[in-house]
Amino acid sequence: MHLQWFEAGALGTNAIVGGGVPLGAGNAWAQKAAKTDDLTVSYFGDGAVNIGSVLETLNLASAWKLPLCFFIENNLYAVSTPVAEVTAEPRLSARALGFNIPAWRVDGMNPLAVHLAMKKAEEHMRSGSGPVVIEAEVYRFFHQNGAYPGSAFGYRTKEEEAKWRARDPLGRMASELKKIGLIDEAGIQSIRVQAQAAMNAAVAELVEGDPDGKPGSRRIQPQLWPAAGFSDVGVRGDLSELRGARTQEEWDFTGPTTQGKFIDAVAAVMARRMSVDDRIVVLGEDVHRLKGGTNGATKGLSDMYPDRVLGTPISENAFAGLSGGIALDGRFRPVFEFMYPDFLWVAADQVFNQIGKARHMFGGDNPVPVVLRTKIAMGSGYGSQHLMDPAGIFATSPGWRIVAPSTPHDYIGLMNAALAIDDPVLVIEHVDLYAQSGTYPADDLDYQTPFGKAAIRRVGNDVTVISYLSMVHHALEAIEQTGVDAELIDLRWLDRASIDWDTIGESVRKTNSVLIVEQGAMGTSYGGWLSDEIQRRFFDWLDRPVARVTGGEASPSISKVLERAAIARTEEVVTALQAARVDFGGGN
Amino acid sequence: MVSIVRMPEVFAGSTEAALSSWLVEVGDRIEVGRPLAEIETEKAIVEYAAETSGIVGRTLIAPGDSTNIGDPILVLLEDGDGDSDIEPFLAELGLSAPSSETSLVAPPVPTAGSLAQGASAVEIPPGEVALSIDSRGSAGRHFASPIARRIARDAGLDLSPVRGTGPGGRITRRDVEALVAANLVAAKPIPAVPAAPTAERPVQAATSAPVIGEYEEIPHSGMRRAIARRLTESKSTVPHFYLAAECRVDELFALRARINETSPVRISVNDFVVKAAAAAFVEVPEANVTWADTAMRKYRTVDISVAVATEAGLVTPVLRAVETLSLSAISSRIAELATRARDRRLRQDELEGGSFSVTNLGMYGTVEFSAILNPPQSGILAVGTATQQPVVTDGEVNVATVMRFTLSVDHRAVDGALAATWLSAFSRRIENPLSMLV
Repeated sequence: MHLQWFEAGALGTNAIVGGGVPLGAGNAWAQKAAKTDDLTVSYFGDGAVNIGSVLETLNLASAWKLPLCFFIENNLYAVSTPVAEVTAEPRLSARALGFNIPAWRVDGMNPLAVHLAMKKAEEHMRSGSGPVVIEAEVYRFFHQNGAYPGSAFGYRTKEEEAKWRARDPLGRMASELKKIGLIDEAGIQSIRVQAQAAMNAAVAELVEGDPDGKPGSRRIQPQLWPAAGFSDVGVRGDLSELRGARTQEEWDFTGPTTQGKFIDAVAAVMARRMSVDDRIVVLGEDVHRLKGGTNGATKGLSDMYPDRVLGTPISENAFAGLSGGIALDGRFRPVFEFMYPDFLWVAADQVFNQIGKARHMFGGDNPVPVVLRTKIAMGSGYGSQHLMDPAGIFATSPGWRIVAPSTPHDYIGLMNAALAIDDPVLVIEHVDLYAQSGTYPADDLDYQTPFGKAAIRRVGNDVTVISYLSMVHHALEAIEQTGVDAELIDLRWLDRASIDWDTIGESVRKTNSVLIVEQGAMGTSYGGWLSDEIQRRFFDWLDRPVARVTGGEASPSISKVLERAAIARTEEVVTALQAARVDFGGGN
Repeated sequence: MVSIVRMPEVFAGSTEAALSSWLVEVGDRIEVGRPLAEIETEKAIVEYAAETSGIVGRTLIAPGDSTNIGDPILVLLEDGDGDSDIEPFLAELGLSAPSSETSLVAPPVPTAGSLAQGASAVEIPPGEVALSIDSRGSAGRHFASPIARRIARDAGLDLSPVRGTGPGGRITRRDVEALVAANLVAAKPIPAVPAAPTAERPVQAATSAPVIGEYEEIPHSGMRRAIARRLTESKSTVPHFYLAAECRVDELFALRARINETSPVRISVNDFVVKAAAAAFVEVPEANVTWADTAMRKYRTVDISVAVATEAGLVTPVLRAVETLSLSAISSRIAELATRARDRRLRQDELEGGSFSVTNLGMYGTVEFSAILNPPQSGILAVGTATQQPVVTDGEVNVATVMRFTLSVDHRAVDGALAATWLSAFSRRIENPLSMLV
């Protein structure tokens, strides 16, 4: 199912209906941005025409005039459901008109007709005029899967199948060639026999007689199966790309520093990277306007690099997938933004099924260097559908690395690392931090934060407080208020492959007590997996159950009062620290 | 209808109690007032009587088990209920009992309050809720944190006698570290109590007491702990002062001898002391008071506690309205209370109240001593032995039998002059014992 062969131009087949189409748009974008006249063809069936990814991509590809061919193989049935039953416009090529895309509808059983349509389409795409739609009317003689005809399942007749069989393009090709004297019957037979022999020879390399099976049954040769230990290979890359990187920590930086707002460091490091690495492109809603997007994170970038700062339609699935496609192509390094983390659900297929799984699913060798920026907005009053913390969802989904900087200095270092890493990296920001001022190097925006290293923000003996992002500051406040001698670990690297077990372990073995502090709703919270991991790794070192601070069950409401009640801040950490003290046996 | 009998709070302020024995069996039909069980608290074994009638359906804890006050201990049925009604009922309560003879491990039944406080923002570790309900667990389940067990294992310490300071009595790292530190101070190698038999370390008998240093550790009984707590509290929070009196008791001894010739019960010197104390309170009622936070309590009767030494420790049953009792009544009442105290059969109400105590070490030859007040009482009289000694009367030296009394007083309730007035009234009666008989 998951076949990829870049050298042959095969970008990867997809088991999500329509799921590969946004990725195809990314490939087309890269071809265009690289100033080639190459083009991309995305093949999908009639069933995929009605899915959001395809419709969003039709719009986006047309808006940006991408050399992308939407090749619809209309075989009349989505599994067993006839096209006309699920759309009032069964002429699927007509979808193109609403997006101002030229379309061709051809007899897909006629190879020459398809060839001619593709020549027209190619001309259009190579001329820089944008995408095309080709609807080829075809037929699958068999059912969706397996060796039986569709009629065996009762959704169509044998007569219908026989009628289409009579138009078999292989037979038609042979008869047309014979008609104009290019081949005779013996030649046709010879080609068939050769083709079958080649297929049999290929299969013989893979299978053998099954000694335990029925007579004549075959099995895949046992030695061809992968070792079971291969199941996790390639979830992420080996990080060899970070070798030799220059790293820098705030506490041992001695050069000149500048005082600035967190948000200015966000824009500054991206401007710096774009100036030295012209592969970097920034995509998202309004990132090119409003003087740096909704918060100023892309301030100044579109003035300097108008072609590399791309304001997208509000189509998270399409532009997330497009970014993934650019990453798979490899010539550019996309940085796309979700204005609010909750939009990950809108784009979930592309974010998790496609980007997160792409490397592993296709064998583990092909990198997916893409950065997703998003900001936690708890406290802004934007309500139930804008105020999640995405860390827990990304941490429990395969493929993504996660960084969450709590200081401007770390933001620069972590973003530089994220842009260097050949895996998808989520960079989480927090609106509460944007306005905070801090110091960062005045003339050095090129360092990385050491990979996989947490920062100890306070040394203590009584309880290990583990946090990230803005809650690091709240935790520090709470520690000062309670006087509990807590050790505060700012994780910085959050995902399971990048987290700093050495620092956590050393601290847990010292304090024997853990409090994981985060702000958001408990259900999708980050600390669940971490708590589980800690109790399994350090059970014999714990003096009490791993404790956690999270928000409530609900996503925070718009009401300021309810929002405050739904999330965690300093006061909740204070309560938890006091509980920790009671658990020591230290009374109140 | 199936109903539950819960562990009663037999002693105000106690948090847990142990079942000493069941006095009923499954299937018994019981009426209100029938003793169900003997409950052991820090101070006494108390018979707990049924508050509702019914049929005993199932016992939920076994003799020896400790539970929190309010935990279910017994299932009562009514006519028409069958054994099959019990499980659904227990399940509804969030309880499930494997069988009637095995003890119930109290399930985590978080109260609405504790969850409401924790749920919105701070996740209470689930163990905490469970432990706070079932503090020590039943059947000897002993909670210790993993790191505490690890340190104990490395140090070769047996944690079974240790009472933890964490939630629900969980033994914490700090508890074990304190124990280890104490052993280091003792500067003796710690004999190991191996957790599992190994070739090098033969296993000790499982029942052997944990040996640490050169002493044997005897786990505190509830009574020992209660004594320690109450007396520490008394000596450190109640301002004591002391008055001493020396009384000639020749007349008292003579009178006692004459009475005992005819009395059906044998009157002791101590009975006279108690009688004299009661009479002194009748004369000086202002002294019959105790200190409370907002007011002084002035008692209408004279209730006097009598200290009784038992094997397990000191108990102080109360004699009520002593001023109305004859000497022989005092004598037989004290004898009866002392017997039941030694059998640990006193009821809780017999241990509570009173403004005053009498404690007597005279039988051990102690000449004089001063006692620690028994809160909330405001006075305690320490009675020494009677000795013959020279006394000077009107410039003449004579031999007389003399007893020394030391009165400890709570200065918050009773001032020096008042105490002296009372002690004088008491001494007069001891020295003129006939006045007590009229």
